Amino acid sequence: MLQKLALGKKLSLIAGLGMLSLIIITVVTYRGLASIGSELEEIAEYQIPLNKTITELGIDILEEEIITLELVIASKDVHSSQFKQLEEDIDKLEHATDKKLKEAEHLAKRAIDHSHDPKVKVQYESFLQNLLTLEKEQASFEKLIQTYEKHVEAGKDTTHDFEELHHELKSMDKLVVSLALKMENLLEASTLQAEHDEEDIIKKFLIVVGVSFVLLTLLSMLIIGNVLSSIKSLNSGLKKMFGFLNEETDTLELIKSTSGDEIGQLAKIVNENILKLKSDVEIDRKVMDEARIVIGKVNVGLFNERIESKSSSASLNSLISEINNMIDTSYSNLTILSESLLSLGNAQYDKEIPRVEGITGLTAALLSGTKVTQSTINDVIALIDNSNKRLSFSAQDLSDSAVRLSNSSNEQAAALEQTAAAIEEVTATISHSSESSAKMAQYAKNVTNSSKVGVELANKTSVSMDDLSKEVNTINEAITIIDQIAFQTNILSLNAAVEAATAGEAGKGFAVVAQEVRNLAARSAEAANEIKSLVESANSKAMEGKTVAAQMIEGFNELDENITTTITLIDDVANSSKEQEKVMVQINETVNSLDQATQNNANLSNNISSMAKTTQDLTAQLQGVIDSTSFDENSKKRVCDTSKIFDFAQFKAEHVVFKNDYFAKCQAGKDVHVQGSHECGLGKWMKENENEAYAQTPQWEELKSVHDRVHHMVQDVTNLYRDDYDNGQIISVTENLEKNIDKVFKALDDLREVNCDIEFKNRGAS
Amino acid sequence: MSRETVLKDNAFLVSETDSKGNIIFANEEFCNVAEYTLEELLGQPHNMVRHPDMPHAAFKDLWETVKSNEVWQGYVKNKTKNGGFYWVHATVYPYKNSNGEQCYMSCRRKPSYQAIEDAQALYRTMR
Repeated sequence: MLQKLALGKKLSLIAGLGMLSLIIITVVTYRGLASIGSELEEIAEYQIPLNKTITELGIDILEEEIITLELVIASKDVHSSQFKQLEEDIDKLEHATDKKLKEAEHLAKRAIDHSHDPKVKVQYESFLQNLLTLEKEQASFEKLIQTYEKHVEAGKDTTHDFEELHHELKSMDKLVVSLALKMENLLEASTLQAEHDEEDIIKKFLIVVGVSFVLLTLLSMLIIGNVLSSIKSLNSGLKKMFGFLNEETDTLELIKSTSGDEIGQLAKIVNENILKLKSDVEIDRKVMDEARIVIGKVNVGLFNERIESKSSSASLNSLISEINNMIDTSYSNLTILSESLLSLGNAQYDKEIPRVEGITGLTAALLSGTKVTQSTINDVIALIDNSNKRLSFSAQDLSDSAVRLSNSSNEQAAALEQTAAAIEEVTATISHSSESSAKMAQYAKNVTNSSKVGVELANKTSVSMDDLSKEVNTINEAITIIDQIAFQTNILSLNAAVEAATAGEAGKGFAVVAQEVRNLAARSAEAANEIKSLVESANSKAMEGKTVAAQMIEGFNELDENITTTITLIDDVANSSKEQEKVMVQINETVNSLDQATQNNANLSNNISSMAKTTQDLTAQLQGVIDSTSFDENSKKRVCDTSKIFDFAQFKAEHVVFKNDYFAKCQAGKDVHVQGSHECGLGKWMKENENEAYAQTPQWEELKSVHDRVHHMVQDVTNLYRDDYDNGQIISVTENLEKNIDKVFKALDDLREVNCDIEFKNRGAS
Repeated sequence: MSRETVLKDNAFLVSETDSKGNIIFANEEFCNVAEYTLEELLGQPHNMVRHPDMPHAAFKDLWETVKSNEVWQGYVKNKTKNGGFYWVHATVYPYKNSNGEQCYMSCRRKPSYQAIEDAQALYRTMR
């Protein structure tokens, strides 16, 4: 019967019993205390005030005695101020005493009304009688004192009055003492009554408490035992449920409960929950199994499925929707990445890799890495394209040159054959001249002999000429004599003519003779002159002959010398010819090897020609390959400097790695110092090249600014992580960071383009 | 001359405003340096910490930049509640909060001495 009761009722039963006991205890105690209370009230409100008033009355009466005595003493001088004062005092005291008497009467009357005990009532009534008597006595005392005062003032004898007063006061004393005694008796009786009542109450109280305690203990034990067994069964049921929830057991059992109280109801609710939990857990397990399958597929790269089942738990559903979102996002990001990579694989290098909003970290690094790869490939292909086109032109040139070389080699071979023939002729000529020189040497010797004979003859001629010269002088002397004779003859003829003229006619004939003589003299002189000039001419001729002879000797000597020289020369020539012969043999050999080389050249040029053709074919093939790829034509504008292609690609990659490295270091509470923009590879390169022409451009300034910004922003990200900011705040920086990394990439491309522009202009100018 | 507060080496002052420039968040370090309590700052226009030495053009550039969804960076002189001042190197990020509202976050760090000198010289010419 007890089991079916509700826990509240069970507890109410205990509480009710407890209350009942409490009420009984209270009633018993109350009643006891009430009687003690009324006794104490009696004592406190009536007996003690009465006692107090009686004591005060006693004191007043004593004072009255004292003042009366003082008055008697002061009565010697009724006009003294002391007497008057005492008269006034006694009046006041009489008033006070009267008042107190009335109070005591009033109290006594009330005590009589209040008292229920007839014995006590009688005692109070007797007490009141005494009080009334005292009042009468007091009134007579007052009369007496007035009489006494009059008598004193009148100067009468007061002895009798005094005795009466004394007597009166004594009787009042006695009355007050008897009143005090009565009051004491009353107090004692009341106290005894109170003590008796107290003992009675304690006895009753102990009995009731003992009985209540036993009853309450029994009932409590019964109910607690009952509740404990219900709680135990609930406890084991809950333990099993939590064991199941914590996945320690696989089975769920219902709690066996028969009690109808709240615990029983709790057990029922738990049972209902166990049933619901069972079904929820089954649903959740299904969801988990599906999640496991989907995640397993995602792990190997299959993104086609999503977790479709719904759990009954809102938090699990929210987790599932987050997982689905994660798969969606990863799928779309990986699709973009995969398409980008496939485009690269399909040689579509100009397909723009889209900027994906809201990604950062490794995902963004994958995409930016792909962009760097694409950009480098574009640059390399543009470079290959440029180079291949140039190679193609060169190969054409080479081919043309090879043809020309081949032609000229053939011409050269023909020329060499002619040369060889000429050389043979020269060789023959040389050996012939060798022989001739030997003959010449012989002839020269003969000439030497002849010249010796010539010298002798010349010497003889010279001597003859000297002789001739002597003879001519002799003739000259003879002619001088003739000339003198002719002169004298002429003078004689002239004398003869003068004489003949003097002789006149006679002399005429003579004159003729004289004239004839004179003519003869003239003719003699003339003849002598002629002879003289002839002799002089002969002399000069002789002198000439002598000179000639001398010259001849000299000439012969010279000839001799010359012949000696000639012989030496001829010997030299002979020797030289021999040398020449040898040289010619060498030349011949050389020409022969030249001939061979030329033939080789001709062959080689044919080979080169065919190789150039092959090269042309290859470049055409390569161009075909390049043309079949689609690459960013803009890349061509920036590939003039090969080293920058790879350096700048490295700078790009460096910043993707830089960002990833610092992101990996990010941690709440951790202070990370991020490398400054002047400390990285790009920063150092910029410092080294800040004086270059391309560093004086707006593109350079843009690169510097965005590069600085990227370093600062990475520092900001680490600081936000350090200070434990929200995802939203961190992402606001990382998103902008990704945008700025893209800007660094673009600025690097732009800078290379502007660099190529500058180089092109410089080349044009120089 | 008014008192300068020099930031600690790894100081990191963060504040956020809504699209109208009213302060919606400030970290403790920012409050300490600016000498305001967070309650005093919230809802106030951000120019309450602007120093009169700053040229208007600088803030015009800042707002034009961030409103076009770009990051702004620069050296800024701010005043404190008690009339002092401090220099910061600020980076202002535009972003949309989870409700899709446009907000701006400013992250400030200690600038180098040389950078302050340069900025001072530049701003003097701009005023």
